[in-house]
Amino acid sequence: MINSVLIAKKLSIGYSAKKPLHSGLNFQLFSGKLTSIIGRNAAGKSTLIKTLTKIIKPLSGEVIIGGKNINEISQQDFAKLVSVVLTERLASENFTVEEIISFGRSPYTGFSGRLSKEDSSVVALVAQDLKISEFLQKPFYELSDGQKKKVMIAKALAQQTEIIILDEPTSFLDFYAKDEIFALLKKIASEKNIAVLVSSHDILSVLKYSDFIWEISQTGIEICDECLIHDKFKI
Amino acid sequence: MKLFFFILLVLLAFLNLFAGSADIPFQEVLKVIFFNCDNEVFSVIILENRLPQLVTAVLSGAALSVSGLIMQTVFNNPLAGPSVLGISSASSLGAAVVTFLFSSIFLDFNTTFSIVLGSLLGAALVLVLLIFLSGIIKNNLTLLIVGLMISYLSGSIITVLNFFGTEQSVKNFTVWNMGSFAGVLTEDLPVFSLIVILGLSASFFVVKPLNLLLLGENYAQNLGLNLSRGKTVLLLIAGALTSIVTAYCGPVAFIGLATPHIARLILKTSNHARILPLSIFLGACIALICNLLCVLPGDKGILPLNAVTPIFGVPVIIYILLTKNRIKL
Repeated sequence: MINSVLIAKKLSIGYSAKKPLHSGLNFQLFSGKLTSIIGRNAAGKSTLIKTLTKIIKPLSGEVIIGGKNINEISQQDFAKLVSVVLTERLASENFTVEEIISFGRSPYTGFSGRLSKEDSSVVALVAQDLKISEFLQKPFYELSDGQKKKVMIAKALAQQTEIIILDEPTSFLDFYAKDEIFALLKKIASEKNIAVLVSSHDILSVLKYSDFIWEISQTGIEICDECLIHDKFKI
Repeated sequence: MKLFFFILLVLLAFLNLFAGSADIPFQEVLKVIFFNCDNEVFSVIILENRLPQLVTAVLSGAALSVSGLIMQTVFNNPLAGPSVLGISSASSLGAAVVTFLFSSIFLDFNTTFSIVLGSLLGAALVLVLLIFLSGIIKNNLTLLIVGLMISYLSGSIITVLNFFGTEQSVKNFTVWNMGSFAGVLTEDLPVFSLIVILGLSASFFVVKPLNLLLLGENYAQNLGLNLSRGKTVLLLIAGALTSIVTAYCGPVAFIGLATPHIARLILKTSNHARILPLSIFLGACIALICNLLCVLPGDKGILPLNAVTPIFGVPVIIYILLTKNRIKL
């Protein structure tokens, strides 16, 4: 049986109530499944992701996680439910890889941000899982783009959330790295029973690894049939 | 490393007691510090002039550096510092209004007290305005530009006030505006120290939000930071530290801007848990060095502080502008 962890009901998204980008969206995210969003530039993928991660407010309708509307969940508690990997660069990259992953523990640490023994072991385990243990002490700015994405995914995993949302994690990566990231996301979803939502333009990886594919267009969100996509893009 | 900076600080502190415009022999200074000195004049100069000045320099340097560090992180801008955002220029404006307007009405006005009060009021007003605006203006660059505009506006009002001011009030204001660590009198020292130490202690409680903000506001929010509340607290701490120092010592330039960068260069990290303590130590050391440089002319007088601070500030800023790497914050 699959378990839905996030439910959107009659959701309107966008930046101004007069001109919503999309309205009346209904969808669900399932634990253990990798869901991919595809769609044209400016179709609303990033807006949707920002709404689901509480970076911007829904114009109307609701997003429900664990039976609660996310508007009513405090920022601190929300940080333990949904983690995010964004397209934007970090404001400062002058941290070690270990420090960046440790920031994923912020929702669990006290005011000083000092890691407990348990926190440190979570960080070490995540690094081991993602095979980045050997460069934990390296400064973040020295990494390749692919390695940086992996570290940000490690940060998201260290947050120990039931949902991970990623905005175009494979843009700017070479095709080996694209495949590697998607394989990793698929593995995370199924092995750790996490609901993973990822937006991407990388149609080959999307087809290869996704459990569900959503196409977002002017008419709203459509759950795509794989064959339909094969047809559409002549793959 | 910690030991090195501690020894440096103590050494500089002693040098500050030995050097000054009055020529006091080495042994006499030691006598005043460690024993009782029979020479009234020497002990007054050292205990009521050099010692308060030393404490003021240490605290001001630390306060300005922490304020600069917080501003740079909150505004995500390596060139931010206590003097941007209009806080110190609003302090100047407050001081100018008091010296020029009130001193002509009340002739026996206590100048030191009135300048301090005026500049604190000016800074507080702008701080409240900025915190209010930071809730509305989401873009940090826009907020920074608003701060700059406040500086220009204060500058022009000060010029007009200067134009109509009496000779004495123009002189009072100009002296204050040049900056000096001698501004805190012995009787004001406890209040000044208390506020600065409170501000510095508070900064240790915001290391976590500061670090999260270095990832970018969206990541910080996703890691549990309440953005508007967090930024308000940070601006309050930085604003309080800047305004108390500016009120007593005048708008001291460059120390707050340059010190955090020197700390980042030394430690090769931006982690506030390590940068913050070093900034406090370095800020204190740099302020003491600047204070020493001020008394170099000996009995010819004392150089204005703001003539000396660019010696540290300008090379650092040029270095930041020239390095092309992304390790600017």
